[in-house]
Amino acid sequence: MAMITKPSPIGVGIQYNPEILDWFPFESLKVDLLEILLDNIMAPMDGPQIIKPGLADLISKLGENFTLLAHSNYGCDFGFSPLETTSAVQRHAPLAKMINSPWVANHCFYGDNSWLDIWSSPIQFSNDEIVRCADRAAQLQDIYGMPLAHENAAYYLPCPGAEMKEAEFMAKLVERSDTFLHLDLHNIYTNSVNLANYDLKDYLDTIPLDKVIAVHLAGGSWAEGIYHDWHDSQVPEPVWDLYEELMQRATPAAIILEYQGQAHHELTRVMGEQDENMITTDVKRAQAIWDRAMANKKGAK
Amino acid sequence: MKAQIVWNTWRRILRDETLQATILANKGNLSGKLEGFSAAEIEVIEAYADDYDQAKWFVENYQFRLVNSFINALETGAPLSLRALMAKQVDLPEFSKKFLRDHEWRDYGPYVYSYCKDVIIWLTKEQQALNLDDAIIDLLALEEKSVDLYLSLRDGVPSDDKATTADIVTTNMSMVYQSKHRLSDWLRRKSDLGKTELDTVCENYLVVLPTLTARHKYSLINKRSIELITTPPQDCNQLDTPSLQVLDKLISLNALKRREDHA
Repeated sequence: MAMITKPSPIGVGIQYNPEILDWFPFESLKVDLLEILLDNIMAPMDGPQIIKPGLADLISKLGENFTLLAHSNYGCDFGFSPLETTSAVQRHAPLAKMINSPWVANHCFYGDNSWLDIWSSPIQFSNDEIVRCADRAAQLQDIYGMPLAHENAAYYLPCPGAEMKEAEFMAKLVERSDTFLHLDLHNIYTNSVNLANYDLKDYLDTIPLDKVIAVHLAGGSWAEGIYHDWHDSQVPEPVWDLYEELMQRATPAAIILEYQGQAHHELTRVMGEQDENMITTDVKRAQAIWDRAMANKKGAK
Repeated sequence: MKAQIVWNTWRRILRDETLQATILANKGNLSGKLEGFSAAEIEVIEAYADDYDQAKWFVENYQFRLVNSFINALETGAPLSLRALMAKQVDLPEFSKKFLRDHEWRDYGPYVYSYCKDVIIWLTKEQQALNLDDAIIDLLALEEKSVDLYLSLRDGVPSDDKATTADIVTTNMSMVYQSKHRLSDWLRRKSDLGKTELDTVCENYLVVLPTLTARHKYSLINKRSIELITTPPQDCNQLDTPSLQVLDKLISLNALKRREDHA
Protein backbone atom coordinates (compact mmCIF):
# COMPACT_ATOMS: atom_id res chain seq x y z
CA MET A 1 0.00 0.00 0.00
CA ALA A 2 1.51 3.35 -1.07
CA MET A 3 2.00 6.13 1.49
CA ILE A 4 -0.61 8.78 0.74
CA THR A 5 -0.14 12.28 2.14
CA LYS A 6 -2.04 15.55 2.09
CA PRO A 7 -1.01 17.75 -0.88
CA SER A 8 0.45 21.24 -0.51
CA PRO A 9 -1.91 24.25 -0.78
CA ILE A 10 -3.04 25.11 -4.32
CA GLY A 11 -5.49 27.98 -3.91
CA VAL A 12 -9.06 28.99 -4.68
CA GLY A 13 -11.27 27.80 -7.52
CA ILE A 14 -14.74 26.96 -8.65
CA GLN A 15 -16.76 23.91 -9.57
CA TYR A 16 -16.94 23.48 -13.34
CA ASN A 17 -20.65 22.82 -13.26
CA PRO A 18 -22.28 21.96 -16.60
CA GLU A 19 -25.60 23.41 -15.44
CA ILE A 20 -24.21 26.97 -15.63
CA LEU A 21 -21.74 26.34 -18.41
CA ASP A 22 -23.85 28.05 -21.07
CA TRP A 23 -23.57 31.47 -19.44
CA PHE A 24 -20.75 31.48 -16.90
CA PRO A 25 -17.27 32.28 -18.35
CA PHE A 26 -15.23 29.65 -16.49
CA GLU A 27 -12.28 29.81 -18.85
CA SER A 28 -11.66 33.52 -18.31
CA LEU A 29 -12.04 33.43 -14.53
CA LYS A 30 -8.84 34.16 -12.58
CA VAL A 31 -8.72 31.13 -10.31
CA ASP A 32 -6.16 28.47 -9.45
CA LEU A 33 -8.31 25.44 -10.02
CA LEU A 34 -11.48 23.95 -11.45
CA GLU A 35 -13.35 21.16 -9.79
CA ILE A 36 -14.40 18.58 -12.37
CA LEU A 37 -17.51 16.51 -11.69
CA LEU A 38 -16.42 13.05 -12.75
CA ASP A 39 -19.98 11.83 -13.20
CA ASN A 40 -20.55 14.48 -15.85
CA ILE A 41 -17.58 13.43 -17.94
CA MET A 42 -17.73 9.68 -17.45
CA ALA A 43 -19.19 7.45 -20.14
CA PRO A 44 -22.05 5.13 -19.11
CA MET A 45 -21.05 2.02 -17.19
CA ASP A 46 -22.88 -0.20 -19.66
CA GLY A 47 -20.77 0.93 -22.60
CA PRO A 48 -17.14 0.46 -23.59
CA GLN A 49 -15.80 3.95 -22.91
CA ILE A 50 -14.35 5.57 -19.80
CA ILE A 51 -14.83 9.23 -20.78
CA LYS A 52 -17.63 10.60 -22.96
CA PRO A 53 -16.43 10.91 -26.57
CA GLY A 54 -15.20 14.41 -27.35
CA LEU A 55 -14.57 15.47 -23.77
CA ALA A 56 -10.96 14.34 -23.50
CA ASP A 57 -9.81 17.30 -25.60
CA LEU A 58 -11.84 19.79 -23.57
CA ILE A 59 -10.48 18.46 -20.28
CA SER A 60 -6.96 18.50 -21.62
CA LYS A 61 -7.39 22.14 -22.68
CA LEU A 62 -8.75 23.13 -19.26
CA GLY A 63 -5.80 21.36 -17.67
CA GLU A 64 -3.39 23.68 -19.48
CA ASN A 65 -4.67 26.66 -17.48
CA PHE A 66 -5.99 25.25 -14.22
CA THR A 67 -5.29 22.52 -11.72
CA LEU A 68 -8.19 20.10 -12.17
CA LEU A 69 -9.69 18.51 -9.07
CA ALA A 70 -11.64 15.28 -9.33
CA HIS A 71 -15.00 15.37 -7.58
CA SER A 72 -17.30 12.41 -7.44
CA ASN A 73 -20.99 12.56 -6.67
CA TYR A 74 -22.07 9.06 -7.56
CA GLY A 75 -19.10 6.84 -6.88
CA CYS A 76 -21.14 4.67 -4.50
CA ASP A 77 -18.14 4.73 -2.15
CA PHE A 78 -20.25 3.76 0.85
CA GLY A 79 -22.85 1.50 -0.74
CA PHE A 80 -23.17 -2.20 -0.08
CA SER A 81 -22.43 -3.57 -3.56
CA PRO A 82 -18.94 -4.98 -4.17
CA LEU A 83 -16.46 -2.12 -4.42
CA GLU A 84 -15.03 -3.38 -7.72
CA THR A 85 -18.44 -2.95 -9.38
CA THR A 86 -18.82 0.73 -8.45
CA SER A 87 -18.46 3.80 -10.65
CA ALA A 88 -15.71 4.89 -8.29
CA VAL A 89 -13.53 1.97 -9.31
CA GLN A 90 -14.63 1.43 -12.90
CA ARG A 91 -14.80 5.05 -14.07
CA HIS A 92 -13.74 7.62 -11.48
CA ALA A 93 -10.35 6.12 -10.63
CA PRO A 94 -9.09 6.13 -14.24
CA LEU A 95 -10.66 9.56 -14.86
CA ALA A 96 -9.07 11.12 -11.76
CA LYS A 97 -5.70 9.90 -13.01
CA MET A 98 -6.47 11.09 -16.55
CA ILE A 99 -7.04 14.68 -15.37
CA ASN A 100 -3.95 14.55 -13.08
CA SER A 101 -6.03 15.37 -10.04
CA PRO A 102 -4.03 15.66 -6.81
CA TRP A 103 -6.88 13.96 -4.89
CA VAL A 104 -10.47 12.86 -5.27
CA ALA A 105 -13.48 13.71 -3.11
CA ASN A 106 -16.91 12.16 -2.70
CA HIS A 107 -19.97 12.57 -0.51
CA CYS A 108 -21.09 10.59 2.51
CA PHE A 109 -24.23 9.09 1.02
CA TYR A 110 -25.41 5.58 0.30
CA GLY A 111 -25.67 4.47 -3.31
CA ASP A 112 -25.67 1.13 -5.09
CA ASN A 113 -25.60 1.16 -8.89
CA SER A 114 -27.55 4.37 -8.57
CA TRP A 115 -27.26 8.10 -9.10
CA LEU A 116 -30.35 9.92 -8.03
CA ASP A 117 -31.31 8.26 -4.76
CA ILE A 118 -27.85 9.18 -3.48
CA TRP A 119 -28.63 12.79 -2.52
CA SER A 120 -31.59 11.53 -0.50
CA SER A 121 -29.66 8.92 1.45
CA PRO A 122 -27.14 10.13 4.05
CA ILE A 123 -25.11 7.41 5.74
CA GLN A 124 -25.89 6.16 9.21
CA PHE A 125 -23.67 7.61 11.92
CA SER A 126 -23.23 4.36 13.80
CA ASN A 127 -20.25 2.47 15.19
CA ASP A 128 -20.75 -0.43 12.79
CA GLU A 129 -20.77 1.94 9.84
CA ILE A 130 -17.52 3.58 10.95
CA VAL A 131 -15.83 0.20 10.64
CA ARG A 132 -17.50 -0.80 7.37
CA CYS A 133 -17.18 2.58 5.64
CA ALA A 134 -13.63 3.19 6.84
CA ASP A 135 -12.38 -0.19 5.66
CA ARG A 136 -14.08 0.36 2.30
CA ALA A 137 -12.64 3.88 2.07
CA ALA A 138 -9.11 2.66 2.80
CA GLN A 139 -9.43 0.05 0.07
CA LEU A 140 -10.81 2.62 -2.38
CA GLN A 141 -8.07 5.16 -1.62
CA ASP A 142 -5.55 2.47 -2.41
CA ILE A 143 -7.25 1.83 -5.76
CA TYR A 144 -7.28 5.56 -6.57
CA GLY A 145 -3.60 5.82 -5.62
CA MET A 146 -4.23 9.36 -4.39
CA PRO A 147 -5.83 10.95 -1.32
CA LEU A 148 -9.55 10.22 -0.99
CA ALA A 149 -11.54 12.88 0.86
CA HIS A 150 -15.05 12.40 2.24
CA GLU A 151 -17.45 15.31 1.97
CA ASN A 152 -19.90 15.94 4.78
CA ALA A 153 -23.44 16.02 3.38
CA ALA A 154 -26.43 18.30 3.71
CA TYR A 155 -29.61 16.40 4.55
CA TYR A 156 -33.15 16.99 5.72
CA LEU A 157 -33.06 14.11 8.15
CA PRO A 158 -30.25 11.93 9.52
CA CYS A 159 -30.32 8.26 8.65
CA PRO A 160 -32.25 6.34 11.37
CA GLY A 161 -30.04 4.38 13.73
CA ALA A 162 -27.48 7.13 14.35
CA GLU A 163 -25.41 6.66 17.49
CA MET A 164 -23.34 9.84 17.37
CA LYS A 165 -23.14 13.29 15.85
CA GLU A 166 -21.97 13.68 12.27
CA ALA A 167 -18.71 15.44 13.21
CA GLU A 168 -17.78 12.64 15.59
CA PHE A 169 -18.54 10.06 12.90
CA MET A 170 -16.38 11.88 10.34
CA ALA A 171 -13.51 12.12 12.82
CA LYS A 172 -13.63 8.42 13.67
CA LEU A 173 -14.05 7.48 10.01
CA VAL A 174 -10.84 9.14 8.83
CA GLU A 175 -8.96 8.07 11.93
CA ARG A 176 -9.61 4.44 11.05
CA SER A 177 -9.33 4.70 7.25
CA ASP A 178 -6.40 7.12 7.05
CA THR A 179 -8.31 8.98 4.37
CA PHE A 180 -9.14 12.70 4.34
CA LEU A 181 -11.95 15.23 4.67
CA HIS A 182 -13.55 17.50 2.13
CA LEU A 183 -15.31 20.01 4.33
CA ASP A 184 -18.45 21.56 2.91
CA LEU A 185 -19.03 24.57 5.12
CA HIS A 186 -22.40 25.34 3.58
CA ASN A 187 -23.60 21.82 4.31
CA ILE A 188 -22.60 22.27 7.95
CA TYR A 189 -24.47 25.57 8.03
CA THR A 190 -27.54 24.12 6.28
CA ASN A 191 -27.77 21.21 8.70
CA SER A 192 -27.32 23.52 11.68
CA VAL A 193 -30.27 25.59 10.45
CA ASN A 194 -32.58 22.64 9.77
CA LEU A 195 -31.68 19.95 12.27
CA ALA A 196 -32.18 19.89 16.01
CA ASN A 197 -29.05 18.89 17.96
CA TYR A 198 -26.73 19.75 15.06
CA ASP A 199 -24.03 21.97 16.48
CA LEU A 200 -22.35 24.40 14.12
CA LYS A 201 -20.04 25.66 16.81
CA ASP A 202 -18.37 22.41 17.86
CA TYR A 203 -18.01 20.94 14.35
CA LEU A 204 -14.51 22.32 13.78
CA ASP A 205 -13.52 21.36 17.32
CA THR A 206 -14.51 17.75 16.72
CA ILE A 207 -13.01 16.87 13.33
CA PRO A 208 -9.24 16.48 12.80
CA LEU A 209 -8.50 19.76 10.99
CA ASP A 210 -5.17 18.51 9.68
CA LYS A 211 -7.16 16.00 7.62
CA VAL A 212 -9.11 18.70 5.74
CA ILE A 213 -7.85 18.68 2.16
CA ALA A 214 -10.50 20.83 0.52
CA VAL A 215 -13.39 23.12 1.34
CA HIS A 216 -16.68 23.83 -0.42
CA LEU A 217 -18.35 27.23 -0.14
CA ALA A 218 -21.86 27.71 -1.47
CA GLY A 219 -25.22 29.34 -0.88
CA GLY A 220 -28.76 28.11 -0.64
CA SER A 221 -32.40 29.16 -0.44
CA TRP A 222 -35.37 29.03 1.89
CA ALA A 223 -38.47 27.20 0.69
CA GLU A 224 -41.47 26.12 2.73
CA GLY A 225 -39.73 26.76 6.02
CA ILE A 226 -36.61 24.74 5.22
CA TYR A 227 -33.18 26.02 4.18
CA HIS A 228 -31.96 24.10 1.12
CA ASP A 229 -28.42 23.46 -0.13
CA TRP A 230 -29.32 24.43 -3.68
CA HIS A 231 -26.19 26.38 -4.66
CA ASP A 232 -28.39 29.08 -6.18
CA SER A 233 -27.32 32.17 -4.26
CA GLN A 234 -24.34 33.94 -2.76
CA VAL A 235 -22.38 32.44 0.11
CA PRO A 236 -24.15 33.49 3.36
CA GLU A 237 -22.32 35.35 6.15
CA PRO A 238 -22.27 32.47 8.68
CA VAL A 239 -20.41 30.38 6.06
CA TRP A 240 -17.86 33.16 5.53
CA ASP A 241 -17.36 33.29 9.29
CA LEU A 242 -16.80 29.54 9.40
CA TYR A 243 -14.34 29.80 6.50
CA GLU A 244 -12.39 32.58 8.27
CA GLU A 245 -12.21 30.48 11.41
CA LEU A 246 -11.14 27.38 9.52
CA MET A 247 -8.35 29.27 7.72
CA GLN A 248 -7.01 30.47 11.07
CA ARG A 249 -6.91 26.95 12.42
CA ALA A 250 -6.10 24.77 9.41
CA THR A 251 -4.39 24.68 6.03
CA PRO A 252 -6.60 23.08 3.41
CA ALA A 253 -5.13 22.59 -0.04
CA ALA A 254 -8.06 24.10 -1.94
CA ILE A 255 -11.17 26.21 -1.58
CA ILE A 256 -13.92 25.58 -4.13
CA LEU A 257 -17.05 27.65 -4.69
CA GLU A 258 -20.17 25.89 -5.99
CA TYR A 259 -23.07 27.19 -8.10
CA GLN A 260 -25.52 25.10 -10.07
CA GLY A 261 -28.84 24.97 -11.86
CA GLN A 262 -32.18 23.47 -10.91
CA ALA A 263 -30.73 20.09 -10.04
CA HIS A 264 -32.82 18.96 -7.10
CA HIS A 265 -36.17 20.73 -6.90
CA GLU A 266 -38.43 22.91 -9.00
CA LEU A 267 -38.41 25.63 -6.33
CA THR A 268 -34.67 26.20 -6.88
CA ARG A 269 -33.88 29.61 -8.27
CA VAL A 270 -32.61 29.32 -11.84
CA MET A 271 -29.48 31.43 -12.16
CA GLY A 272 -28.41 33.23 -15.30
CA GLU A 273 -26.05 35.81 -16.73
CA GLN A 274 -27.28 38.37 -14.20
CA ASP A 275 -25.63 36.25 -11.48
CA GLU A 276 -22.12 36.42 -12.94
CA ASN A 277 -21.20 39.40 -10.77
CA MET A 278 -22.50 37.65 -7.64
CA ILE A 279 -20.27 34.65 -8.35
CA THR A 280 -17.13 36.64 -9.15
CA THR A 281 -17.67 38.75 -6.02
CA ASP A 282 -17.84 35.56 -3.92
CA VAL A 283 -14.74 34.20 -5.64
CA LYS A 284 -12.76 37.40 -4.95
CA ARG A 285 -13.83 37.40 -1.30
CA ALA A 286 -12.76 33.77 -0.94
CA GLN A 287 -9.42 34.57 -2.56
CA ALA A 288 -8.84 37.56 -0.26
CA ILE A 289 -9.45 35.44 2.84
CA TRP A 290 -7.20 32.71 1.46
CA ASP A 291 -4.40 35.17 0.61
CA ARG A 292 -4.56 36.80 4.02
CA ALA A 293 -4.56 33.48 5.86
CA MET A 294 -1.68 32.09 3.82
CA ALA A 295 0.33 35.30 4.36
CA ASN A 296 -0.26 35.03 8.10
CA LYS A 297 0.87 31.43 8.11
CA LYS A 298 4.03 32.41 6.19
CA GLY A 299 4.68 35.26 8.61
CA ALA A 300 4.22 33.00 11.59
CA LYS A 301 6.93 30.61 10.39
CA MET B 1 -30.97 -0.63 13.29
CA LYS B 2 -28.70 -2.32 10.79
CA ALA B 3 -27.58 0.19 8.19
CA GLN B 4 -28.12 -2.10 5.22
CA ILE B 5 -31.71 -2.81 6.27
CA VAL B 6 -32.33 0.92 6.73
CA TRP B 7 -30.88 1.68 3.30
CA ASN B 8 -32.77 -1.05 1.47
CA THR B 9 -36.04 -0.14 3.18
CA TRP B 10 -35.51 3.56 2.49
CA ARG B 11 -34.99 2.77 -1.20
CA ARG B 12 -38.35 1.01 -1.21
CA ILE B 13 -39.97 4.09 0.31
CA LEU B 14 -38.29 6.32 -2.27
CA ARG B 15 -39.65 4.27 -5.16
CA ASP B 16 -43.06 3.16 -3.91
CA GLU B 17 -45.73 5.86 -4.20
CA THR B 18 -48.34 3.64 -2.53
CA LEU B 19 -46.09 3.14 0.48
CA GLN B 20 -45.44 6.90 0.62
CA ALA B 21 -49.20 7.54 0.63
CA THR B 22 -49.69 4.95 3.38
CA ILE B 23 -47.02 6.64 5.52
CA LEU B 24 -48.51 10.07 4.92
CA ALA B 25 -52.07 8.96 5.73
CA ASN B 26 -51.17 6.96 8.83
CA LYS B 27 -48.32 8.87 10.49
CA GLY B 28 -48.04 7.75 14.11
CA ASN B 29 -50.39 4.84 13.59
CA LEU B 30 -48.78 2.55 11.04
CA SER B 31 -49.27 -0.73 12.89
CA GLY B 32 -51.33 -3.09 10.82
CA LYS B 33 -51.05 -0.85 7.75
CA LEU B 34 -47.80 -2.32 6.45
CA GLU B 35 -47.93 -5.74 4.84
CA GLY B 36 -45.01 -7.77 3.54
CA PHE B 37 -42.38 -6.10 5.70
CA SER B 38 -40.24 -7.65 8.42
CA ALA B 39 -40.25 -6.26 11.95
CA ALA B 40 -36.87 -4.62 11.30
CA GLU B 41 -38.17 -2.99 8.12
CA ILE B 42 -41.30 -1.73 9.86
CA GLU B 43 -39.09 -0.14 12.52
CA VAL B 44 -37.28 1.74 9.74
CA ILE B 45 -40.49 2.83 8.04
CA GLU B 46 -41.86 4.10 11.35
CA ALA B 47 -38.66 6.06 11.94
CA TYR B 48 -39.06 7.84 8.59
CA ALA B 49 -42.81 8.27 9.20
CA ASP B 50 -42.08 10.08 12.48
CA ASP B 51 -40.21 12.76 10.53
CA TYR B 52 -42.05 12.57 7.24
CA ASP B 53 -42.28 16.38 6.90
CA GLN B 54 -38.51 16.31 6.43
CA ALA B 55 -38.29 12.94 4.63
CA LYS B 56 -40.78 14.09 1.99
CA TRP B 57 -38.14 16.52 0.70
CA PHE B 58 -35.85 13.57 0.00
CA VAL B 59 -38.69 11.92 -1.92
CA GLU B 60 -39.66 15.05 -3.87
CA ASN B 61 -36.04 15.73 -4.78
CA TYR B 62 -35.54 12.14 -5.88
CA GLN B 63 -38.55 12.28 -8.16
CA PHE B 64 -37.55 15.67 -9.57
CA ARG B 65 -34.07 14.40 -10.40
CA LEU B 66 -35.47 11.25 -11.98
CA VAL B 67 -37.88 13.20 -14.18
CA ASN B 68 -34.90 15.12 -15.56
CA SER B 69 -32.86 11.94 -15.93
CA PHE B 70 -35.29 10.69 -18.59
CA ILE B 71 -34.14 13.56 -20.79
CA ASN B 72 -30.50 12.86 -19.95
CA ALA B 73 -30.97 9.23 -21.01
CA LEU B 74 -32.29 10.33 -24.41
CA GLU B 75 -29.58 12.97 -24.73
CA THR B 76 -26.94 10.30 -24.14
CA GLY B 77 -28.28 7.51 -26.33
CA ALA B 78 -30.77 9.11 -28.70
CA PRO B 79 -29.88 12.80 -29.04
CA LEU B 80 -31.40 13.18 -32.51
CA SER B 81 -34.71 11.73 -31.36
CA LEU B 82 -34.66 14.03 -28.35
CA ARG B 83 -34.19 16.99 -30.65
CA ALA B 84 -37.02 15.82 -32.86
CA LEU B 85 -39.32 15.32 -29.86
CA MET B 86 -38.47 18.80 -28.61
CA ALA B 87 -39.20 20.23 -32.07
CA LYS B 88 -42.60 18.52 -31.87
CA GLN B 89 -43.08 20.30 -28.52
CA VAL B 90 -44.07 17.12 -26.74
CA ASP B 91 -44.40 17.35 -22.96
CA LEU B 92 -41.18 15.54 -22.02
CA PRO B 93 -41.57 15.89 -18.23
CA GLU B 94 -45.04 14.36 -18.54
CA PHE B 95 -43.66 11.52 -20.72
CA SER B 96 -40.96 11.06 -18.12
CA LYS B 97 -43.42 10.78 -15.23
CA LYS B 98 -45.49 8.21 -17.14
CA PHE B 99 -42.40 6.18 -17.96
CA LEU B 100 -41.13 6.34 -14.38
CA ARG B 101 -44.49 5.28 -12.95
CA ASP B 102 -44.45 2.33 -15.37
CA HIS B 103 -40.94 1.51 -14.13
CA GLU B 104 -41.64 2.13 -10.42
CA TRP B 105 -39.34 5.17 -10.18
CA ARG B 106 -36.29 3.07 -10.91
CA ASP B 107 -32.92 4.79 -10.66
CA TYR B 108 -30.83 3.36 -13.51
CA GLY B 109 -27.75 5.12 -12.16
CA PRO B 110 -24.73 5.01 -14.45
CA TYR B 111 -26.32 2.42 -16.75
CA VAL B 112 -27.53 5.13 -19.08
CA TYR B 113 -27.59 3.09 -22.30
CA SER B 114 -29.85 0.51 -20.64
CA TYR B 115 -32.02 3.38 -19.43
CA CYS B 116 -32.17 4.88 -22.92
CA LYS B 117 -32.98 1.49 -24.45
CA ASP B 118 -35.92 1.08 -22.04
CA VAL B 119 -37.11 4.62 -22.83
CA ILE B 120 -37.01 3.91 -26.58
CA ILE B 121 -38.88 0.63 -26.12
CA TRP B 122 -41.50 2.39 -23.99
CA LEU B 123 -41.94 5.32 -26.40
CA THR B 124 -42.37 2.87 -29.26
CA LYS B 125 -44.87 0.77 -27.33
CA GLU B 126 -46.83 3.87 -26.31
CA GLN B 127 -46.64 5.49 -29.76
CA GLN B 128 -50.39 5.85 -30.17
CA ALA B 129 -51.10 6.99 -26.62
CA LEU B 130 -48.32 9.56 -26.88
CA ASN B 131 -49.34 10.59 -30.39
CA LEU B 132 -45.88 10.07 -31.90
CA ASP B 133 -45.63 9.85 -35.68
CA ASP B 134 -44.01 7.01 -37.57
CA ALA B 135 -40.95 9.00 -38.63
CA ILE B 136 -40.03 9.71 -35.00
CA ILE B 137 -40.41 6.02 -34.17
CA ASP B 138 -38.18 5.22 -37.15
CA LEU B 139 -35.53 7.66 -35.89
CA LEU B 140 -35.78 6.18 -32.40
CA ALA B 141 -35.22 2.72 -33.90
CA LEU B 142 -32.12 3.95 -35.73
CA GLU B 143 -30.71 5.38 -32.53
CA GLU B 144 -31.67 2.23 -30.66
CA LYS B 145 -29.16 0.47 -32.92
CA SER B 146 -26.40 2.76 -31.68
CA VAL B 147 -27.45 2.06 -28.09
CA ASP B 148 -27.39 -1.68 -28.87
CA LEU B 149 -23.92 -1.24 -30.30
CA TYR B 150 -22.59 0.41 -27.13
CA LEU B 151 -24.28 -2.22 -24.98
CA SER B 152 -22.76 -5.01 -27.08
CA LEU B 153 -19.29 -3.56 -26.48
CA ARG B 154 -19.76 -3.13 -22.74
CA ASP B 155 -17.11 -5.74 -21.96
CA GLY B 156 -14.86 -4.72 -24.86
CA VAL B 157 -14.68 -5.77 -28.47
CA PRO B 158 -15.27 -9.52 -28.89
CA SER B 159 -12.20 -11.41 -30.08
CA ASP B 160 -11.93 -12.60 -33.67
CA ASP B 161 -13.03 -16.13 -34.44
CA LYS B 162 -9.71 -18.00 -34.38
CA ALA B 163 -11.09 -20.79 -36.54
CA THR B 164 -12.02 -18.60 -39.47
CA THR B 165 -9.99 -18.72 -42.65
CA ALA B 166 -11.76 -15.79 -44.27
CA ASP B 167 -9.80 -12.87 -45.66
CA ILE B 168 -12.23 -10.38 -44.18
CA VAL B 169 -13.90 -10.42 -40.77
CA THR B 170 -16.28 -8.16 -38.93
CA THR B 171 -14.91 -5.64 -36.43
CA ASN B 172 -17.95 -6.24 -34.21
CA MET B 173 -18.11 -2.45 -33.98
CA SER B 174 -21.01 -1.81 -36.33
CA MET B 175 -24.65 -2.63 -36.89
CA VAL B 176 -27.02 -2.18 -39.79
CA TYR B 177 -30.42 -0.48 -39.74
CA GLN B 178 -33.02 -0.39 -42.46
CA SER B 179 -35.29 2.62 -42.15
CA LYS B 180 -38.86 3.04 -43.37
CA HIS B 181 -38.46 6.76 -44.04
CA ARG B 182 -35.92 9.01 -45.72
CA LEU B 183 -34.22 9.77 -42.41
CA SER B 184 -31.25 11.15 -44.32
CA ASP B 185 -33.24 14.36 -44.82
CA TRP B 186 -33.15 14.92 -41.07
CA LEU B 187 -29.60 13.64 -40.56
CA ARG B 188 -28.27 16.02 -43.20
CA ARG B 189 -30.25 19.01 -41.93
CA LYS B 190 -30.47 18.70 -38.17
CA SER B 191 -32.52 21.89 -37.97
CA ASP B 192 -35.31 19.96 -39.73
CA LEU B 193 -35.40 17.18 -37.12
CA GLY B 194 -39.01 16.57 -36.19
CA LYS B 195 -40.16 19.57 -38.20
CA THR B 196 -40.52 18.27 -41.76
CA GLU B 197 -42.44 15.36 -43.23
CA LEU B 198 -40.34 12.46 -44.51
CA ASP B 199 -40.98 10.28 -47.56
CA THR B 200 -41.66 6.63 -46.88
CA VAL B 201 -38.51 5.29 -48.48
CA CYS B 202 -36.29 2.49 -47.28
CA GLU B 203 -32.69 3.49 -46.51
CA ASN B 204 -29.84 1.33 -45.24
CA TYR B 205 -27.67 2.68 -42.47
CA LEU B 206 -24.40 1.56 -41.05
CA VAL B 207 -24.13 2.43 -37.36
CA VAL B 208 -20.44 2.27 -36.52
CA LEU B 209 -17.85 3.19 -33.93
CA PRO B 210 -14.77 4.42 -35.84
CA THR B 211 -12.66 3.62 -32.77
CA LEU B 212 -13.50 2.38 -29.31
CA THR B 213 -13.06 5.87 -27.85
CA ALA B 214 -14.95 7.75 -30.59
CA ARG B 215 -18.62 8.62 -30.87
CA HIS B 216 -20.69 6.47 -33.24
CA LYS B 217 -21.43 7.55 -36.80
CA TYR B 218 -24.22 6.88 -39.27
CA SER B 219 -23.44 6.19 -42.92
CA LEU B 220 -25.85 5.47 -45.73
CA ILE B 221 -24.85 2.21 -47.39
CA ASN B 222 -26.05 0.20 -50.38
CA LYS B 223 -27.33 -3.37 -50.65
CA ARG B 224 -23.94 -4.74 -51.66
CA SER B 225 -22.50 -3.32 -48.44
CA ILE B 226 -25.10 -5.17 -46.42
CA GLU B 227 -24.26 -8.40 -48.24
CA LEU B 228 -20.57 -7.95 -47.52
CA ILE B 229 -21.20 -7.11 -43.85
CA THR B 230 -23.59 -10.02 -43.42
CA THR B 231 -21.26 -12.45 -45.18
CA PRO B 232 -17.67 -11.17 -45.13
CA PRO B 233 -15.76 -12.51 -48.14
CA GLN B 234 -13.68 -15.62 -47.66
CA ASP B 235 -11.44 -14.83 -50.63
CA CYS B 236 -11.03 -11.27 -51.86
CA ASN B 237 -9.69 -12.51 -55.16
CA GLN B 238 -13.18 -13.69 -56.00
CA LEU B 239 -14.60 -10.16 -55.75
CA ASP B 240 -15.17 -7.94 -58.75
CA THR B 241 -13.82 -4.38 -58.84
CA PRO B 242 -17.02 -2.63 -57.67
CA SER B 243 -17.28 -5.04 -54.75
CA LEU B 244 -13.64 -4.41 -53.82
CA GLN B 245 -14.35 -0.68 -53.79
CA VAL B 246 -17.32 -1.20 -51.49
CA LEU B 247 -15.18 -3.45 -49.30
CA ASP B 248 -12.46 -0.79 -49.02
CA LYS B 249 -15.10 1.72 -47.98
CA LEU B 250 -16.48 -0.61 -45.29
CA ILE B 251 -12.95 -1.24 -44.00
CA SER B 252 -12.27 2.50 -43.83
CA LEU B 253 -15.52 2.97 -41.91
CA ASN B 254 -14.43 0.24 -39.45
CA ALA B 255 -17.30 -2.13 -40.20
CA LEU B 256 -15.00 -4.82 -41.58
CA LYS B 257 -11.29 -5.55 -41.34
CA ARG B 258 -8.70 -7.76 -42.93
CA ARG B 259 -7.94 -10.73 -40.73
CA GLU B 260 -4.92 -9.80 -38.60
CA ASP B 261 -2.69 -12.71 -39.67
CA HIS B 262 -3.86 -12.48 -43.25
CA ALA B 263 -2.81 -9.03 -44.47
